[in-house]
Amino acid sequence: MSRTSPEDSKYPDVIIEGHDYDGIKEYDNPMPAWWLWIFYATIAWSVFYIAALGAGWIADYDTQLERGKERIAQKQAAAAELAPVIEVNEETLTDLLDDQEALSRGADVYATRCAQCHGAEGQGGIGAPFDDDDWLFADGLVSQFEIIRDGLAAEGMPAHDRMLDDQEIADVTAFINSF
Amino acid sequence: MTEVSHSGVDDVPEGMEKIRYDDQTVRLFVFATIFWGIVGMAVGVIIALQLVVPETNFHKYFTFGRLRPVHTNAVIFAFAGNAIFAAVYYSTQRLVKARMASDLLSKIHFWGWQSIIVAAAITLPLGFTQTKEYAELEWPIAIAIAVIWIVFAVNFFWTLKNRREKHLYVALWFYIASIITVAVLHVVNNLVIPVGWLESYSIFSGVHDAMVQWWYGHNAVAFVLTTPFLGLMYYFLPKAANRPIFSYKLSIAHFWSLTFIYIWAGPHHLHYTSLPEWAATMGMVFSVMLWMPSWGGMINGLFTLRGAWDKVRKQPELKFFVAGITFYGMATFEGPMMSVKIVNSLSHYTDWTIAHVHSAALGWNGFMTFGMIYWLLPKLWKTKLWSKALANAHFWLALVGILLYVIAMYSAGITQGLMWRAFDESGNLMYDNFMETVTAILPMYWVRLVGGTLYLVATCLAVVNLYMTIRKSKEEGRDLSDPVALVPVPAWKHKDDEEAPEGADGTVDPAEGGERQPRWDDWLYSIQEKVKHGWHRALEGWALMFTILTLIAILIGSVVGIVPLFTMKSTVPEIESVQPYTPLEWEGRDIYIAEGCHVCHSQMVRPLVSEIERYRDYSKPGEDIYEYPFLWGSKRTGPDLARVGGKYNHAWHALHFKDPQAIEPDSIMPAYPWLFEDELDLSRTSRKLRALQRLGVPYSDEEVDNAEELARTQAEQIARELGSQNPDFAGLENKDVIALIAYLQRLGTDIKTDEGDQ
Ligand code: HEC
Ligand code: HEC
Repeated sequence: MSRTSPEDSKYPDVIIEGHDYDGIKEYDNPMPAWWLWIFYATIAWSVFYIAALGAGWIADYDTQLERGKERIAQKQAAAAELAPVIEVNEETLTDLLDDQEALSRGADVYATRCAQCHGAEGQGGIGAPFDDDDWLFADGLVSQFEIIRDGLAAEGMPAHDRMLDDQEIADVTAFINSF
Repeated sequence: MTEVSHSGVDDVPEGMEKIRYDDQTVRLFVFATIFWGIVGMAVGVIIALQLVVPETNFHKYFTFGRLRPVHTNAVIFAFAGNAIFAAVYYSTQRLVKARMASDLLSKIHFWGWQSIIVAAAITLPLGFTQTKEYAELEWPIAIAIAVIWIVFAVNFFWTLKNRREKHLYVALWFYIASIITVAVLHVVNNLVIPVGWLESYSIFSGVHDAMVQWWYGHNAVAFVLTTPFLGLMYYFLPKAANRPIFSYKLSIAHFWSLTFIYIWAGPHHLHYTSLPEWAATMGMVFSVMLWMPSWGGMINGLFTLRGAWDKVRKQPELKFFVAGITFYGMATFEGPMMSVKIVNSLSHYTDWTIAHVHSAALGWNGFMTFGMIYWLLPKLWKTKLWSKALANAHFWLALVGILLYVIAMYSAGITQGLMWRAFDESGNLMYDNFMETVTAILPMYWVRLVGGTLYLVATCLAVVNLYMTIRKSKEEGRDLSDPVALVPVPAWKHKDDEEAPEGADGTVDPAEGGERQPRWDDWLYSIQEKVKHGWHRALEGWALMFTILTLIAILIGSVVGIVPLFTMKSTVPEIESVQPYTPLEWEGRDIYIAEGCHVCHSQMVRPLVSEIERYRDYSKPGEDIYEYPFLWGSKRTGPDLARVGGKYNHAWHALHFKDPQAIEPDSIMPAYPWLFEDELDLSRTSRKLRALQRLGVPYSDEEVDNAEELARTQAEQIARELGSQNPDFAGLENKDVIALIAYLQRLGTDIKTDEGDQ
């Protein structure tokens, strides 16, 4: 038996007789107590978790999703109340056509949301061009507004109602008429 | 029991035996380890580059989607695999005091394994893949793997049978667990129905397939990358440090708890998916319970070095071991943490997983391997290591590489995860354009590229050291023939031999030599004698029983975790509107698989508000009943595609395949121009549908027989629509792109719900 470890060791470091594998020996040290206790704690926690999930103390997938939806719905409702109510009709949209601020806001929206399909210069691509006066689907500004908001599912024009608010849609409607 | 060179032993003293160890096979495995290590890491660097410079997807067969599995397979099965074999072959012979049982089997094992790797490196870029992570290799190769694994197992267990050391050391326990578990996992997860020489479909679909895959996938991590390396540690660390193992009791406790618990943990890869929540919950709690069993190995490793820390400064191999074990400790704390659902909802699909994997693979597997190699080189080539300084340089460079890599990936993963779920104050997604969440992390991708390159360069230093050490050995004229060791004749093996009565621990006790009459209760005493050093000690002397118990330990979790899922109908509630894919869509799906689109795109919308806001309704188990194999994916480098059908028109997809950057200027998706040139091959469509029909997909015989015509008709229609949307894309009805578009336009359209209402 030999003690070869540092004097301050918490462990007895007694070599086990008869354990010698290609010169490798083994100490008869106990398992560290903290190791054992944390192991027990994780087992206890697991039992608790399963019980708590079963009893409904911990939210399951469905509950989590419902709560999340509620949270977002509240936010959306609150935002809708605060949002500037804009009236969308031929007249208000026509007013925007030479509102420089609206056009520059519309240009930003266009660059991030529309250019990929309608071309950076409105020259068209996947979607129809805006640099001519022909409209394939739209009939007037309000109709353009609605197409942008609701999309043309059958044609591959996506709806934007979840990404843009009415003001932004109005801005970009104005902008696409400026090409 | 020192090893001496071949010529040194001519006469064998009484009571001793001469054994020759087979070190040539070990040398071969060391070469293979380093060689494939360089290859695997180089491919890693290439795909890291492809994610920041998409133009480097320069050829059909070298796109990210095809190369990523080459990288993972190369580093896991070729680099780590060969390292494991080197460790097992070197240490087992010495731990049991017997040469590997059959030189022939050793040869078949070595060359067979290398051939499999070559086959993988060829077939994966060609697009032959079963898609399941770390089980991508098509069925003929999978069968070859099974055969070679059995060769290895026979060679190993036969060697155990020939052992002269009665008791099995802890390293061997871990080897045993690895060998039998990998065999079980591999067979079950490769159950496929072939439809061609290099084509097949999993016999499971959807939820069931996912469950089997991640039971496999997680335990490939466990029984290829963890337990064999613990075995490696248990041999090479105490040898290198010349210190006793800290605690035998801890070895026992952590071996059995680890082996038993690991196998349950797989479903933690499937949180918030269509897998039933109870199954995911089991995966989670067992992962949490796995924390301490894993740390048992770390403690036994690090505490073994108590009082030997000065050696760590002097011996490069010990530096690698210490850092490797530390990374192991970090990764095995992080793993359980990521298994907790709430954490997983953030980390899953992001680069956090990539960070986790690489701190384990580069840190634990890589460093343990290099530590072993630096310790082995002088032993195998009978000379000193050519340069310690270079080995130290390797260590520090690689360490910096790992740190850059993982820090970059942690920040990328967490950043992107948070961006995906961020809502603005008006309740809309803050970053509803997926690309915003990609461009935000591209700088981190560059840092990762640098970190990975450093690690690769560092590995090249090991090659230099290997080469120079061998040269030195040659110059010094070292004798590399099999080393010979003298060991005592094992008395415990000769039970009937009068002259060698058996003591409990196998040693010959002269005091017990006398004759005595047998008594009726002798058997009781013999049991008492056997277990007088504890039941586990007795078990260590009984290799067969040890192996059987290990097998039982891993089968319990496997059976309890998987079987109920298959038998309970409630797992997959039927959805009537879900129909099988059309023949053309199915061909498109096969192209999707061959191109490795699933490597970047998930098809599994989780029931989280941010996901249903981004991708619409969450995925239901019933939607996946015809998904042979499942394509949920594990990483979202691009957006989820489960509901992409109808989101864009055909022309959008066509343009996007031709030139993704034309649509999203910063997109990192590769361009696929060959989809517009390669002829759509419908010659095997019928055969494919027949196989699927056999698996239970309700195709009528008529559909199967007329599959080709049906596909042609649909292709013509889609091509017409595409041509009318954009004349540039007219006349493509015979090209691959049409099938792929048909498939994408179908995704998620069988369910007509919006925003998560059922
Ligand atoms: C995914 C591609 C895509 C995006 C993004 C897109 N569109 Fe479209 N858009 C289309 C397609 C396709 C059509 C149908 C026209 C056609 O087939 O040529 C269309 C049609 C339209 C029309 C009707 C044109 C007409 O001639 O009647 C308007 C107006 C329009 N888009 C505006 C926008 C605006 C504004 C945005 C940005 C907020 C936008 N689109 C974003 C693809 C897109
Ligand atoms: C290197 C990873 C990568 C690979 C491989 C890849 N993609 Fe993508 N994909 C992306 C990224 C990033 C985006 C988002 C940017 C964009 O639209 O280009 C994306 C976007 C898409 C989209 C648009 C999704 C949406 O909702 O806007 C589709 C469809 C798509 N990919 C299909 C495929 C197909 C089919 C393949 C295989 C042929 C493929 N991808 C391979 C990364 C990848």
